[in-house]
Amino acid sequence: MTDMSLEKAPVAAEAAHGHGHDHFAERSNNLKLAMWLLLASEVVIFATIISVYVVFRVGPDGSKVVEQVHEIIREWPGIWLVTINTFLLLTSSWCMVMGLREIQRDNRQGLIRWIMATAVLGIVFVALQYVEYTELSHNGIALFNQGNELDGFGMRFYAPTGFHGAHVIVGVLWALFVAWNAKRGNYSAKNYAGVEVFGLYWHFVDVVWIVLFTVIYLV
Amino acid sequence: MASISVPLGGTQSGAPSQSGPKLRVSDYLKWSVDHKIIGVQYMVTALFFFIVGGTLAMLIRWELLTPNLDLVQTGSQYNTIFSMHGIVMIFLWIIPMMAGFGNYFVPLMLGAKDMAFPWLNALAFWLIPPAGILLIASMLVGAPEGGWTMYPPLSTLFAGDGQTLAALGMHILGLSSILGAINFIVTIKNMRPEGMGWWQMPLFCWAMLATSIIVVMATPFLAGALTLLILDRIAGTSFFDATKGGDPLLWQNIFWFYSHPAVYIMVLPGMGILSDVLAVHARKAVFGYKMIALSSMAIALVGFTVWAHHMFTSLQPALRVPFMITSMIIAVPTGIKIFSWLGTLWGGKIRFTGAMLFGLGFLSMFVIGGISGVMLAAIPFDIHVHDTYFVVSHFHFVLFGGSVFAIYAGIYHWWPKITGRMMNETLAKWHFALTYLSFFFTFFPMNFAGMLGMPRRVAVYLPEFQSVNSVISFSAFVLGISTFILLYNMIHSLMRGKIAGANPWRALTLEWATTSPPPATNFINDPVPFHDPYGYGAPGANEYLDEIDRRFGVAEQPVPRPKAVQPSGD
Amino acid sequence: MSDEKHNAESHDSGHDHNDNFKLFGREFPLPVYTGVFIILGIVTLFELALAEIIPRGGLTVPLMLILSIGKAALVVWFYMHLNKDSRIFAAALIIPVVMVLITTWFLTIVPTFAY
Repeated sequence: MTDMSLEKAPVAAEAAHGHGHDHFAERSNNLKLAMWLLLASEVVIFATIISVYVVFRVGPDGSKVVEQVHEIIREWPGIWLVTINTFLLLTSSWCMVMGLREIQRDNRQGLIRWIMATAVLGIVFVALQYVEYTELSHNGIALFNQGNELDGFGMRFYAPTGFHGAHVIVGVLWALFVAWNAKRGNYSAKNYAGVEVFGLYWHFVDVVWIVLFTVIYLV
Repeated sequence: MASISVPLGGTQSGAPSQSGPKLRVSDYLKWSVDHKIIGVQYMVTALFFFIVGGTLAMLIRWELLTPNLDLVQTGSQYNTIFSMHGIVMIFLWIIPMMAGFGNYFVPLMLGAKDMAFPWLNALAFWLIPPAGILLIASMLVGAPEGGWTMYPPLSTLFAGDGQTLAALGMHILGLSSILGAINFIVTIKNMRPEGMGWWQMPLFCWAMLATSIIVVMATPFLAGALTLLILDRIAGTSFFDATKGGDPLLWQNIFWFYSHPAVYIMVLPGMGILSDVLAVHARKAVFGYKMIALSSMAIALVGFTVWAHHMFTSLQPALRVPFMITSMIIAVPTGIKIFSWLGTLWGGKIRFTGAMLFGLGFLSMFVIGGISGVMLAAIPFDIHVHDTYFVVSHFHFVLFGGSVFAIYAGIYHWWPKITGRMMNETLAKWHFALTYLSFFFTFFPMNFAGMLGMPRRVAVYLPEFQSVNSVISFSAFVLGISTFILLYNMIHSLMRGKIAGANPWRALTLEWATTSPPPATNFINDPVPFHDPYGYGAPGANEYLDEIDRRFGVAEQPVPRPKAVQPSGD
Repeated sequence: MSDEKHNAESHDSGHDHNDNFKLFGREFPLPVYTGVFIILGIVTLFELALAEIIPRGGLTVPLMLILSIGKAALVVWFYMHLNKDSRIFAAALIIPVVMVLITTWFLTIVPTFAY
């Protein structure tokens, strides 16, 4: 038994030498696993911050406050702003994945076009979020307690959405970096792990918004 | 014949150089993506903070020599000292030290040239010094008084600005360990050599894998909670302020979502080190390899279900019993490990080297800590000793008697590989004897003090506890001094230690199948692992080990045997 | 490893062949990604209608939550390629999601005061 494995070992050694030349596939696999693990930890940190809102929302005081806030949002048509924002992120996610499709077909110009569209949509999203925050703060929803009946909502609302907004900003910068890399010719149909990994991040940010949109604005 | 049946990854032609690369001190002060340099950077940084944290511990014991305030003027100062002692020891000593061992040895054990992401690895390390500076600065700008658990409202409404800096520092350290953990998982999953399946991996790699999974899933809880805490402190929110609609219990829940799994982050790598050390120095295959590997995973899993046993006095009473049950269940995989280690030792040819002694020290002391842990999991007893020195004794038995003893064992075991030189075994025995005894007499009497009702985290106590506190303090001072034997031994070894050769312990895991210290690419060719990392006594094992010695160099003189201890001078 | 082989296969195929969107056995002249995007948009509008037009009833809230989970699953499955990639990636997502759902549920049912 043991002798056998000793004799086998040289074969294994040869296999070790012959193996591993598919450098791009190996690197792509490593990068994607690392990205998924990072997303796993992002799931937890987002959940921590969102759960603070959820606990407030299902509590007796919180549900009253949230209903009042929803009334305010409806009087001033903030719900449309948020819906537009949702569509912006959904569209940017679609642009992202279409860009990936282009580079898989070795169309670098296509990748750059789609990625730039992704970045622009992300920028517009952040700008609209700024408009929304401004409007909400004019309506008495602030980060800290102001002694009005909406106290307690603001901090639990701004923390998750602001944290998400920060992720969008990081994503926009990353998208520009990917576009710059594409312009320098660093991606091809065989080597697009960098695009794919950014895509994972960007879609994750989109998924978080899908959840936030429902949990905070609709429910 | 031997060279055919022992297919080591040697050189293609000619004799390999039998001495490792020459690295200067300045190489360790620079940004480097070599996992070995990063590993040493981690370890040296951690040792520095060990001394810082140890100094704080000495201050605590000095203060507690008498029942009154003497060393410090106010309780706040005392709060700062024990808070920083906890934070520094946990976040800047044990966790980075384990990460250092992981960085140095996981790629070597897997026969890889480096970690999966060398640059990320360097980034994870270089986040630590700024965080350490933040934590030390936090002591100077205003007291972080909340203990390492930082319960609000103490940490939000009362503590000084230092608390914000400390929270920020812990945030950065959390990011560092998440990045490191991602690297470990990818490395262990994707970079094993041909011929090494999951079940041929050294147990230290299994332990690092389980640890890394916990880090990735648990540390973000702390990050989220710290984000909210920092917002509470600087942005005027009131997430944890009950007077403004916040919820202080929320902090406790989220904090312990992280921090109970985190105690396994601190001890699982130590258990991995122990599995390796015991097998090598007892010359025996690990008993129950699969059970040790799987129990690490079981601990990682069950570790997420026990957090509320830290909150028996603050949580809804109806929830106590379920958490008592899960807390007791988690003793089962730990018990499996303990008995597997005993089975490993049983009938082995035990060599009482420094590494082995500390390994045995871990076994004995960790069992005491584990038993007091099960006692604490029992609700009636826990309510009696809640927040007393019994708890302090418990977690020092598992963190010092467990993790730190494992770190000592790891240092003695792997020092020859890292530096290429042997440590002095006589000094190691002195270090062990002093540490072991003073450790026991520091922390065991705390059980009595705790059961008699001495609360933790207070500088002023009833005069009747003075005698037991004197015993504890004097033992603690001896314990502090004993650490310097190790430091002296290290420096002595670096300057005039014996040349270690490639494999002074004749171990079968892959990190020994190269020169000491290993060359920049770790191995000259792709190494081929022995079919069983713990196959001591298996046919072919001796040939394999002889081949390693022949190719990569032998020790200057034979490994010290129990009978023939080498004199310290040379 | 099997995932690598799987990857390589999926990379080779899919581009010379069409990657058209199929729904209920019908094939549309659109890439899969576009089809998924259209579904996501429709579901979002439906959710909005549910929230704004229909009065709040017993089932609307769970329905909206289910719809948003469905949308998230569509993105993860098609855009993040879990349909083609290693199962370990799926585990890296699903395990923490299940964990945080349990912990969030725990936080919502455990009263802070008044017990």
